Amino acid sequence: MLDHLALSESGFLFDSRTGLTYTLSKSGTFLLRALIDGADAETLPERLVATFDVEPPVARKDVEQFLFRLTDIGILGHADADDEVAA
Amino acid sequence: MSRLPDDPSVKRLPYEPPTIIAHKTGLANKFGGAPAGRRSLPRIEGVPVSELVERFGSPLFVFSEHTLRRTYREVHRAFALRYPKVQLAWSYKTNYLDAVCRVFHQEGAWAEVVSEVEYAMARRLGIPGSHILFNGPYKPEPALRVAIEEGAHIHIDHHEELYTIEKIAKELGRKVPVTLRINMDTGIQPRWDRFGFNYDNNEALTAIRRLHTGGHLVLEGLHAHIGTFMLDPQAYARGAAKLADLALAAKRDTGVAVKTIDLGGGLPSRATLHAQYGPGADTKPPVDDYAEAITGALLAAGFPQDELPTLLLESGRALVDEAGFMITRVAGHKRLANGTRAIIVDAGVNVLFTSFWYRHDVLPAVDRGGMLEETVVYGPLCMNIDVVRPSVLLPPLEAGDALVIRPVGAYNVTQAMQFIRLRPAIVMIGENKEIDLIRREEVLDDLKGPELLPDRLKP
Ligand SMILES: Cc1ncc(COP(=O)(O)O)c(C=O)c1O
Repeated sequence: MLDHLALSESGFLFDSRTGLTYTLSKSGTFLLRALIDGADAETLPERLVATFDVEPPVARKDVEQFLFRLTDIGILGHADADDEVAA
Repeated sequence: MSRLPDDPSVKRLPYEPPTIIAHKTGLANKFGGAPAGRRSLPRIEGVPVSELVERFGSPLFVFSEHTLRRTYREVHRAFALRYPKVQLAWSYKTNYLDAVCRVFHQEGAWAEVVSEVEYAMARRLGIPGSHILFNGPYKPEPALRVAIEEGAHIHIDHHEELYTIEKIAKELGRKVPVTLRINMDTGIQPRWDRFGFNYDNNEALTAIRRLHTGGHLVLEGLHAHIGTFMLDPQAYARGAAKLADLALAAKRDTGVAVKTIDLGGGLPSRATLHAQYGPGADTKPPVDDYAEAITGALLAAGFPQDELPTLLLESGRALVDEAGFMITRVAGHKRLANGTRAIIVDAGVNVLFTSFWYRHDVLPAVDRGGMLEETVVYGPLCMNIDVVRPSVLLPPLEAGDALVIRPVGAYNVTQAMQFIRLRPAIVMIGENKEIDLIRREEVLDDLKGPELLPDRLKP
């Protein structure tokens, strides 16, 4: 459930659990939007390739790093809202 | 036109990697890559950066002859418009590349040197002793002898030097003209009081009397270099007033009129210091303010019209900094553990010494768009201190992309060292866009040539 995340089309993100705000690049916005809409993380590389001019191996690597980063800064995967957020 | 706009096989969107940047409180609008803040530098003096990299490799220092000449003329004009007798002397240590020195000498600069090595450099470039100002706290006796014989202007730093010059003058059986270096409180911190004789406690006037009664030396000039990157023109006004006051006191005491007053260097360049808030180019007072401060103080000091001293200036940084660029290429990327983006470039602090003082401008040669992100720029050295910029907004970059770092014309070339990597090639772009190699890239022998390996240790 990612309903604590409010993401605008322009890539502005508000995390209501922490009150922190973020800016995402176009492809980052695209990926996070897909996740918020319920997409399976496994499908993200193909979605990226379908929409952006990027080769599948690059897409796989970038998605992996991006998901890692989202988890790392507490946007994904942390149930506890008090987790420290690296900013 | 029957293209379906959302048919991915027809046209996919241009790609930049997915990134997310946290807003720091209070800094939100520094992020987000507003197009207004985007800057890049595809050409230096009209020459594409890509062409320079292709021909000469990377990293590469690039000097603009046009900027050297323009800056020199600006500074000279600011003073010459306000004062009848002005002479600039190029401060060698700021950048003693032959080509750079020759440009300034062609423009009319004398040489200001601070060692026998720099003295020899100036002589080698055809500068007569009479056009050399010889500064520095250590001038070995043989160097002093040569300088005296060749009629150089010696700026005395301390008492032992004064005695040595007196001894030489006595041996030569002639009076030697000398300049005294003076230090003083000009209201700025830190106060530079390690060079020369102090004005405020009368040490300077005492030394002048002592020199005069000795009978072998003649006081020709007074010199003060009050600091470097001086952002307050009024400090120079105070310095000039004190030197003028000392000159007039010396005239009263000894009857000898001082011929030159030298305010040293210290004018700032358009670089930004780490401690400065805004860009340095915005906070730096124009050179006219310095010229006004210095010449105003001298003209108001009360010199008789026919004894107005010549004003000497030894500006270094302000003349050369903006003319120098460093081209470097991206070697790799990192995402640091705290989420910060970092890039590794092929030019490090061993050749960009001023990174420790300046927030250099770091510009991509080509901006392909994409979100700007705060980025750490690391050099290629396997040393933690090798940070070219702790934080700068940069667009997405790929390995091999060129960046231009500026201004780097002052002190970097002279203080560059072969540490871990050798020193890069240097080119000068001429007034007519000629591109000349003025220093080749170093090879291992440049570093190892002077070493001697004892036979018993040979492999
Ligand atoms: C005696 C003297 N003159 C001139 C300079 C040039 O200074 P700047 O580069 O600050 O103009 C220096 C630099 O330290 C100096 O020591």
